[in-house]
Amino acid sequence: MAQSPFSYQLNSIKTIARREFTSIFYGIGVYLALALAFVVSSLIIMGYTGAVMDAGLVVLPDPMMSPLYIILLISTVYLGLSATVSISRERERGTMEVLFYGPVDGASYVMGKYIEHMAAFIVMGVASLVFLGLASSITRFSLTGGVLKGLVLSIFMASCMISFGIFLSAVTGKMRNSILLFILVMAAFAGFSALEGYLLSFQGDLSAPLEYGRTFVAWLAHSIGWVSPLSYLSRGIDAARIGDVRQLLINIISPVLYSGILLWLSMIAFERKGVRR
Amino acid sequence: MIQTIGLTKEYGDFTAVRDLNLHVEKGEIYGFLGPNGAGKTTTILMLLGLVKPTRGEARLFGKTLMEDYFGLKRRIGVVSEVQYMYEEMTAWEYLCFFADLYGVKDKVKRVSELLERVQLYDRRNEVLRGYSKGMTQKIGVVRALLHDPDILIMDEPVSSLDPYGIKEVRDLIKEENQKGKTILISSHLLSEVERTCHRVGIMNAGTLVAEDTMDNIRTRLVDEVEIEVELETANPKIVEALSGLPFVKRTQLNGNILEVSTSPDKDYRLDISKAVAAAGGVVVGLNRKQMSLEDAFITITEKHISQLTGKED
Repeated sequence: MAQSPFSYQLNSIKTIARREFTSIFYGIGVYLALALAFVVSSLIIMGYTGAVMDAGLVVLPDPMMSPLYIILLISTVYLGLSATVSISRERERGTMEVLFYGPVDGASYVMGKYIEHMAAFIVMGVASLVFLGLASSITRFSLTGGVLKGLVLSIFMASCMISFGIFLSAVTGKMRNSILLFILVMAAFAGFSALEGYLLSFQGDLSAPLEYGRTFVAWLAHSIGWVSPLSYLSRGIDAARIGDVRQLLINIISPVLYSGILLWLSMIAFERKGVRR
Repeated sequence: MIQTIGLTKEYGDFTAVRDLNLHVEKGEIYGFLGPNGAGKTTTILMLLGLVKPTRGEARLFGKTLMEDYFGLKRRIGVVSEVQYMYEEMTAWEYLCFFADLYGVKDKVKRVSELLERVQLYDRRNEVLRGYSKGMTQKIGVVRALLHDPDILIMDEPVSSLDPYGIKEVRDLIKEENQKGKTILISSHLLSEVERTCHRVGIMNAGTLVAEDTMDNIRTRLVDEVEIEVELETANPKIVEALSGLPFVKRTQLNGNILEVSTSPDKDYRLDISKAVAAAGGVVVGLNRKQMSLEDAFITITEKHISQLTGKED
């Protein structure tokens, strides 16, 4: 009996995701990213232990939150970049075209890539939990509920970064261009985020036009924050730290919407741009 | 099985394919010929849904890809001219991945069978990066056959193979055709098309300029047939006798070889033989020179170019 188109599509998604998942863990990049994340967060933790030893007492409500943020930042940026590279490399090598000779369409390809990277993130997340658990047992800094909530929320934050990477590679052609674009856009987002923080914390007296200017730029930077996957990460970590249910819900729903829109746009970009080299 | 109706692809002012009406029957091996830039690959890409036509439509099994994308894609196998592969994978991993993609049942058996068929089974665990061009071409053919498709679309399937590999793939094509597969071969290797295909379509400047069986295409183009008559001993009486025959257009004697040009409506070898005998000669050998596909191809494309030039004038 003939299967439904949906079941064929599902099979393509599953097959692409499985192959890509295996290839991620055959490569060295994922291990380097995790190693870098663990080294940087270890330095932060060592800074805390040093402060405790120097002062005898340091008040830290969530000592593992900053290391978690660093781990998530490095892991998700790595996966975003990996998504960008893996798609644009396939287009450049021509292997994407060969996939599309068969039962693969834009939607199944995009979803296969997305699921593969999400699965890779879950594995990285588990490794991070093990690392934080070990660090906690060695340093006696507690793994609070906030950290665990942050880890759960990180799935949605990673989804934003991965979708963003997929979208960039869907709209660009060559691998080099998409890597450059990813780095530039990330740098721009980080810059806007820093600018927003600076402007909001600025306490000096300003003349009326400068005050309007400051408010406008802060509003602009804040608005761009809804486009930047980095902002979803910061907001998610803040929500986990505060533990407010409403904030937690917002930080689940908004990344889902963000990812959905970007994945949908990526599918459209594939249709428009085609899959040929 | 494969049908295009008024298929047209324009890139700005340039028309890559113009109002193409193709019809490939079930079980047929159809040769798609044409010089570089004739529009063959664009046509194939439109058939596969990788390039959107400007006008017209392509149908496979009577349906467009819009109507049944996944169903149709699972019934076609494609061999591209250049084999783009995941070079870090072994041949086995690569083929198993595609077998999964096409939902092949008992993939181990199928992949093994096909690798043995192209004599690469023993090298199945080598990474594709180390494969030669010919070997990757064979892997491409195996990939296209994995799911036992009803239609095979092959773009220059033997272009990078050595003579032995060409024979292997040619036999494979014929074997698959005998099993009932419809095969569309785009090639510039005219001799290959001539040996394999039932019908050919000749494309030039985006237009299908001729479409028929090989014999019919030749017959349509040939104004005269040349017959080489090898004589035991040449003498002017024989030349005179043959020149007087109504179907003979010209004669030319080169040593013991008499070249006779006749009209193409019939095979006149028997008549010539009788006339030589009547003139007291002895025929040692008779050779009817047929126009090759290559000659036909050049004649057709040149005619088409001159027609186009004429129109423009």
